[in-house]
Amino acid sequence: MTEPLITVKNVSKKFSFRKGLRTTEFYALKNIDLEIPKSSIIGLVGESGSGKTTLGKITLALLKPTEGEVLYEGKDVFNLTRKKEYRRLLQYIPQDPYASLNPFKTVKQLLIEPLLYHKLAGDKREAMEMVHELMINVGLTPPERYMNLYSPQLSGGERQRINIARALIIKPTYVVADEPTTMLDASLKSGIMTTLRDLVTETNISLAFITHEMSLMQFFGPNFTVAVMYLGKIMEQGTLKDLLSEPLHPYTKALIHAMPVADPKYRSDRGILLKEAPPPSPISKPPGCPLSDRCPFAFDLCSKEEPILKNTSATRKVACHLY
Amino acid sequence: MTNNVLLDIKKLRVDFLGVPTVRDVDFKIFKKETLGIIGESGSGKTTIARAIMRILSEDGTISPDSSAIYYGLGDREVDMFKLSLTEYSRLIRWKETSMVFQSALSSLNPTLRVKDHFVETAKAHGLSNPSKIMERTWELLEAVKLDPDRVLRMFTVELSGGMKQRIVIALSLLLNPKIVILDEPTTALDVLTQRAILDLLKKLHETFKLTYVLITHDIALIADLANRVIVIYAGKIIEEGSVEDIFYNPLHPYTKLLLEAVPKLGEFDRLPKPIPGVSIDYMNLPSGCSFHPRCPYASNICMVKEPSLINIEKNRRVACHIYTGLWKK
Amino acid sequence: MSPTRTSSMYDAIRRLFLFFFKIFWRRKKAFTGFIILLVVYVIPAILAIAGLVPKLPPAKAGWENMYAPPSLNDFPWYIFGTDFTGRPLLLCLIWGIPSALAIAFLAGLFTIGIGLIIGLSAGYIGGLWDSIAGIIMDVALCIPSIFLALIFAAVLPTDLKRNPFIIAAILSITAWAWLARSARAQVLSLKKKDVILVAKAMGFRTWKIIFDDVMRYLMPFIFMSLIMSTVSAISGYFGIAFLGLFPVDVTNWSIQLSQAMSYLGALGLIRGGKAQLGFWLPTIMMILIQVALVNISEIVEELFNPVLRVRLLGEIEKKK
Repeated sequence: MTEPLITVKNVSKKFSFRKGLRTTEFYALKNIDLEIPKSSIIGLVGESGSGKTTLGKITLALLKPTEGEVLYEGKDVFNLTRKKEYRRLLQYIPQDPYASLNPFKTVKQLLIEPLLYHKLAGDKREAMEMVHELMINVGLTPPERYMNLYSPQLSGGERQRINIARALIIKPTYVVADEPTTMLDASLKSGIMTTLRDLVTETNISLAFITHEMSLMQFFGPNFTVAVMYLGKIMEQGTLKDLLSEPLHPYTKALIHAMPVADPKYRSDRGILLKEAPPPSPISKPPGCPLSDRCPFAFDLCSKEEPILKNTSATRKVACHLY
Repeated sequence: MTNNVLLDIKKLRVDFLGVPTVRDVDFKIFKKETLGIIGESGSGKTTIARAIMRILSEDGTISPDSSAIYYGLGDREVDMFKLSLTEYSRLIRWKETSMVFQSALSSLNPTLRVKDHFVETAKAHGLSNPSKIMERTWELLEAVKLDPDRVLRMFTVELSGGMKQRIVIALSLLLNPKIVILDEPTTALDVLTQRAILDLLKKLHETFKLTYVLITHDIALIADLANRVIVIYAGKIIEEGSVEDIFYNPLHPYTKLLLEAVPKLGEFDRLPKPIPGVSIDYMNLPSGCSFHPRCPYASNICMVKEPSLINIEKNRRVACHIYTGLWKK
Repeated sequence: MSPTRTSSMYDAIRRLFLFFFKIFWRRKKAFTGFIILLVVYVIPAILAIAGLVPKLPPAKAGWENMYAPPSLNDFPWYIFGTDFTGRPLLLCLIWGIPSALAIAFLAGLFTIGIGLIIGLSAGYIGGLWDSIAGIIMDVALCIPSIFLALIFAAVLPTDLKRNPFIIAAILSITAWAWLARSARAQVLSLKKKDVILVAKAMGFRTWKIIFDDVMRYLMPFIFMSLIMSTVSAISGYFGIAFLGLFPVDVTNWSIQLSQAMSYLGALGLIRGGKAQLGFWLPTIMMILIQVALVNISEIVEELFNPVLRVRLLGEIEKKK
């Protein structure tokens, strides 16, 4: 078996903050194990507080885990010898197109700088050609129109395309896209998703796609892996098709049931499949399984012991005492 | 018929610094319905809402030809656009029509407690009896499923997104309005919270006998809440119909593309297709039909003549040359 | 140089010229300030340093030589008459410009230098250094800078006191704190906005991130801070000089002012007579430069807002 590209081993991440005189600590992630093979796409689905962004940043070595390790092709990512080379192979596409681009730099500067910094082009002319080509691939056509514009002159969708181009121009092997369409209109989402999907499949990059909308995952196809996270734990993991047709974990079921469907037929007082409880927060997790205070199927063991993520089949893992 | 119409908007035209954006919009709002207005950002849907609430920014002017006849004041009809701002504040704002803003856009004041929000809003709109205000506040907070004991003392920054949205909804109902405009009420909320808010909105609709105007770019939301839909593009209405009409029998090419661009949960065989082309620039609108550069069905007439909104059936309209008889393949 | 290179250089200079012309056309106050700065201060200073202005003649004793009325002797140096030492007033004023400008701008540079180093590092590195730097900043903001400067001025030995660098340093002792605060806040805000995260992911070194990315956001602050600290250094300098804590120097306008005031007494100003020019002209010199600088700061938007800049440049292109 070939070594997976990214391996996350027993990673936990603690954060602490001060409120007045008290310092509170909480676990944003607890005992996460995850493998991301080469040239694959994985979705990290969860609501706010699930830890998905933290996990994404940790896999990119932009954040250090409190416990556990992260391996890139088997090597510890935080102890690499040729840091600069490895750094460019792991890239990040941020969520907010309105805040993540430097408004004082032109599109040309934004895209050409990383190229020249990593010496991926022979000279400026070659670099410009690469930038030109990538801009076309990412949907910013004609490139000449955008070259000398500054980010405040662009729309949200255009800015996200620049974020995507920026991540891909230095030819990474692994990209984390952190909710790239959340800040965009519904009609723009499909454009960005299609572009992202096409680029990733053409270049064989591994992609970790973070989102809270499961329906977006459909752009990538039924057979790729999705991990559903809740309050710092992976609750269920499997192919998108399996998760949608046969969700096992109560949380997955609740998520799928709660989503509005673009079809008036399915309208009803759907209700939430979870019990009413104060809003979940990583600071005040219940003991045992983090879902135990809201789960309709919870029994004694659930509030005492945390369930472990176990395989129920070759492609499926669930962390729930029901299984 | 007039018995059923609550608000009748005619020839609405809004200019920003002289540039026309919303043009020639007319539609009716019927009692107790949920009217969905869908369009992309920049299409003019928020402008329409703000015009109705008379909270347009200084740059925006409503044309004097526009009228918004309101029938909710018992025996008399009032043109909301012709009232002075003071009269509008006194008669209409928050008492007849109110608005639920996106909570994430921090329409709540971070330096005020929840209780102060209610008190201030009440006082600003003429309600000054403190015990009455508190009574109403309690009633509303319970209606939006928040614990008044706990929540009233808190500052709004301590609240989660879902809780903030509930507060904004409660605030909108303070003076028992008839029409509530919902401007992207669930954007930036988690899936489960979104569901809770949507169910809450439906419940409130029944309990308080409200009329909703739902403004959004999310078509799934429209499917979930609305019973009638208006599609806006480049400041004009391009299609109108019941929610079933729009979803199962879309007429305008833009509506069709919009439906195809959204993924449906569980459907893997159909890949969503993005809508081609760039967004609208009101200073350089395309000639003829504003949609023609992006329209897969565009023909010669579309580039020359702007299609007017025609009645296909009762409450079913579309602005497209395919239906005017002038369209040729 | 090939013809195309010279023409493009000429072109670039021409564009720069037109750009500033456009800016000043939009901001007439800034334009006035700029002209004042140039004509009343910078050009005379240059002329003085270049040796085109005669050195100060020796003092002339005697009451008739003190505040003598304007005359056409030795044109143009006596058009304002003489000062309290019998020297031509205009010449004293002109010779005061280079040191005033030097001290003021040096103080400005010290301010932004220290402010940026402390503020940027506090925000970027965080942790213990941030807490320490925060304390230093808070202390600097609370200390009344004038008193501190007075103490230093009173205590330092005379030869140090003549050194413009030392004077500039004294005047900027607490002025850097405002910029440090703003710089730190800007870095923290950028950290939140993923801008720094993405830059780190790209592999950029810390220095590059700070100087190439973060600094651009800070340019308006730096510009304003430069102008404001220059202005406050000017008033601080002349304030301290007025109290007599700097060695007496006839080219120092504040000293001229204080001498004129003691000559005139309380009623002399109202009654008129001698030393009127010796009172008003140094005062105007001190005030006018501050007014000019503050007005120039109006163009901060045009200089640093890239969208506005592009629009203006675009208009220049079209006119071609």
